Amino acid sequence: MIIRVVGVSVTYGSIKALENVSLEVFPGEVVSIIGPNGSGKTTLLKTIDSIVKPIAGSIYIDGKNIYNYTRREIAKILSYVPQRIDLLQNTTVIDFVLTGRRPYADFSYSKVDIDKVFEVLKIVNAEHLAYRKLDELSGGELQRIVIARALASEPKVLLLDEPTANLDSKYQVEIMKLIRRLSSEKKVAVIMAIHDLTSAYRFSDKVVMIKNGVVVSIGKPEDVITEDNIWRVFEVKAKIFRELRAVIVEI
Amino acid sequence: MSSSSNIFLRRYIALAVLATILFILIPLASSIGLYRVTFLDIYKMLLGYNLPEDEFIALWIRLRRIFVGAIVGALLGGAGAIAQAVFRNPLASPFTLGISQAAALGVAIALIAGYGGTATQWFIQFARPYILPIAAFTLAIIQTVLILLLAYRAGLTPQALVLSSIALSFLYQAILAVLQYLVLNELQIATIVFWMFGDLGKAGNTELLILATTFIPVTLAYMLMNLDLDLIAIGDEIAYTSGLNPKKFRFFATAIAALGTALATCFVGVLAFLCLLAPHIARAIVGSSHRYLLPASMMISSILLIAADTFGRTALSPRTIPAGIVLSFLGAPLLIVLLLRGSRRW
Repeated sequence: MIIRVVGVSVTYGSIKALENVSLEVFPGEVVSIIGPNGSGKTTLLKTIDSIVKPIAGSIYIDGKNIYNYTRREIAKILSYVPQRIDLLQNTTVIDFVLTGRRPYADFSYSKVDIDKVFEVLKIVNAEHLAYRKLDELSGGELQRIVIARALASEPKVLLLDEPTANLDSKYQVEIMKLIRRLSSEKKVAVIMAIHDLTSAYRFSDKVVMIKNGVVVSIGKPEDVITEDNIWRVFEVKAKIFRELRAVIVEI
Repeated sequence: MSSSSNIFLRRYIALAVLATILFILIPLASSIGLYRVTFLDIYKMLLGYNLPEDEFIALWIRLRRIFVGAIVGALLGGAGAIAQAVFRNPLASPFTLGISQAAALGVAIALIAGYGGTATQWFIQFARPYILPIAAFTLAIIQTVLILLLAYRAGLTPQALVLSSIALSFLYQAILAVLQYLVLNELQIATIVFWMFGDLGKAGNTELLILATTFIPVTLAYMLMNLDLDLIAIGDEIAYTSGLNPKKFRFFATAIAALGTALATCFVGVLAFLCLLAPHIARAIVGSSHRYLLPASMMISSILLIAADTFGRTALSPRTIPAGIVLSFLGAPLLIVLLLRGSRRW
């Protein structure tokens, strides 16, 4: 499943959110979108999932324009995980993950759907959480469950909006490793907006750096995450330790 | 896998228990009252035994109001669960969103205008009972559109949405008061006010028939929405990416809930708190999956309403306290308890 974003522009009212953005994503590829707050990272994710409609440009899935797919077909290919979800009380993990099977179910969920839920819970190492309430989970557990829900629709592409925000270091690494594992084992392509430059450097195959809705640089992490580019986009001085694959921002 | 079937099995058992309570409660509640009969007489009657005519009439009037209670309760319990999901708001319900009051105003207008029936002496006569649900639904759907406009255009927070809906329901009461003041005499006012309290005794055979025949398609519509209600409760974006148009669905679902509310309100008046409380109790028992939550909420609501009505009939016998008043006594403290328990989440 090859996703091609071709010359996409998005505006919110009079504000330009994305301008002439192009991008190609191949199966099993991990793509990080980095840039300052308000640079258009989330908008790009939403545009790829056609939640936001571009004023120019198109998205193609395997060469077919995304508007020629029904919403249900798209739901089986792309899975979007927003930064935050509102939870109603007393929602059990298994019920929540089951909702991810909606594109496959008409009136009720079958045993196949329930088996699938356990399969994805196993993938994210959260089988033991199946009967817990969502509001009892830790941040790292909840993030895994949210990703499991996204996986339940058996997508070819995962769109993650800051999957490691609000997580401590241990959970951050855990989630990033999970993402890597999904891409290598399940050949799921992952496109994620992310703030942590070191994570982007270490865990992605491709990095898209954007500022004010314009792609500044795109390519391999070591080519995109450079001291010069970080200065241009974030306006901070940074030091890159290539052997450690780490980025440290200078004060 | 065995434990997964357990959780679903537990929910089915909970539903079965609720259904059993309801089926025991119906004859039990009908056997309580001024005219003393036993539990078994009710079963005899339902099984077609010939009872003495006076006994039959006394029992049928009682049984009828209990059937009305069961249906009205179920309609409201389902509507409440739907409202809470589509507005993602634990305070939402037809009552707190003003849909009940709008429906009641519709009926009152129809009654005052003399179309639906006449309010004379001590009784309301529903001369054309078929008009009343239509009148109720018309105003209920207007209120639905107003709420959705408030939610979308003004982007109100969940709390502000409920508060503005309550403001609107005061407006409806004011309109009703003006109509009463200008058109009716004291006796008629008393009748309308009494009706507004919410009393199951007002519905006769035709009304029960209307309720019973509309109940089935409305319940079906409730249940068919169960998967999408689960989705929209998570969030509009997630619902959209899973293949649901959230705005369209929210309108459709609220309209169905408004229809259920209009039917429930048109013959018995406004029943406070029921549609707000029942979903909360149901959620604590079967969780938030609407496949189980909807039937649980409907049955709990029926049970509460029948219990409140039976209490109202017997507590100060021979005087009858309308079920709506009993529910307010019961509902206000229960709501506060729920708020206190859930406060960390709001």
